[in-house]
Amino acid sequence: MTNTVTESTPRPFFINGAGAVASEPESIRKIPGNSAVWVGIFAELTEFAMFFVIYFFAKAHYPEQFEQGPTQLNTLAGTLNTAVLISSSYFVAKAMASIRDNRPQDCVRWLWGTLAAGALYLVIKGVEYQWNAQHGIHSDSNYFYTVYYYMTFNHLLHVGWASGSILWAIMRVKQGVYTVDNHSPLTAIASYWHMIDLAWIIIFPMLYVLR
Amino acid sequence: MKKLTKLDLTWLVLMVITLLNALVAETADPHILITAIVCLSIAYKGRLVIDDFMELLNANRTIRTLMRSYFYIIPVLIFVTDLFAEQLAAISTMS
Repeated sequence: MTNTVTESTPRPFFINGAGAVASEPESIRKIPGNSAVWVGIFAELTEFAMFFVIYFFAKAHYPEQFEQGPTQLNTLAGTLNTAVLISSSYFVAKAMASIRDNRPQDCVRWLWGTLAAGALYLVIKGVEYQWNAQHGIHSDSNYFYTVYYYMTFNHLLHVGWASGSILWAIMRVKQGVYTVDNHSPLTAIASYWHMIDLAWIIIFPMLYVLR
Repeated sequence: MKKLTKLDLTWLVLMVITLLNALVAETADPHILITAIVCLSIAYKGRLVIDDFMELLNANRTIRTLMRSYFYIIPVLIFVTDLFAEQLAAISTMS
């Protein structure tokens, strides 16, 4: 019934206050993107949850190492990477708002911003690992650093391959394949990118803030 | 002057919380109250990203519930395992 009303009387619809689109976005009351990407997202979140469980047990058994560990890490690098990832998520959300508003060129610009943020994240992480090595912090230094490297390197890999999917999305928008009427694959890619940001939202305080 | 959208405001709030977290990392001594505040900040940041950036606020209910639950359960586990660290170590030690 609702669909009939929407189809017969197109009206401005505001998604997250980001702008008006002609009809309801594909995410309203539905699975954003497609089911397959959500299987992947929940699989990845389960994997990260297992890392977190390992962290809980390791911290309980080696409290001194987990109290000292965060104080030795480069907090600035961790904070910058958090800011970069949050901004990248924001760029993706703006890209989605742009494609729904039939502004493909704006969408591409926001996606380039996302890709740049992903690249910047990788550079900062690389610098941080180098800084760690210079300060004698290695994956086998103690249990805290083993968990730190295991968790952050795994997350880094996710940022790497998700950046590839953003590059793919840029190509498809430029080719006119992803449009205002057909962009559910872009929604799927956006959802996956947000998942990576969400994982870091937990990892950052666990490794850099809490002692 | 261009009006800020909800996305812009969400980004601003997330950045402020991140900076406050960094401040805590640099200045605060370990305390269960600090852990509680940090856990609340994780839950709130997750909720903002899930509802506003990921657009799950009005999406499929099952997916929204599962995603939101993740950001209730993990912060609670962080807090509880910090509060009962000795007991956790004791029950997971092989004699």
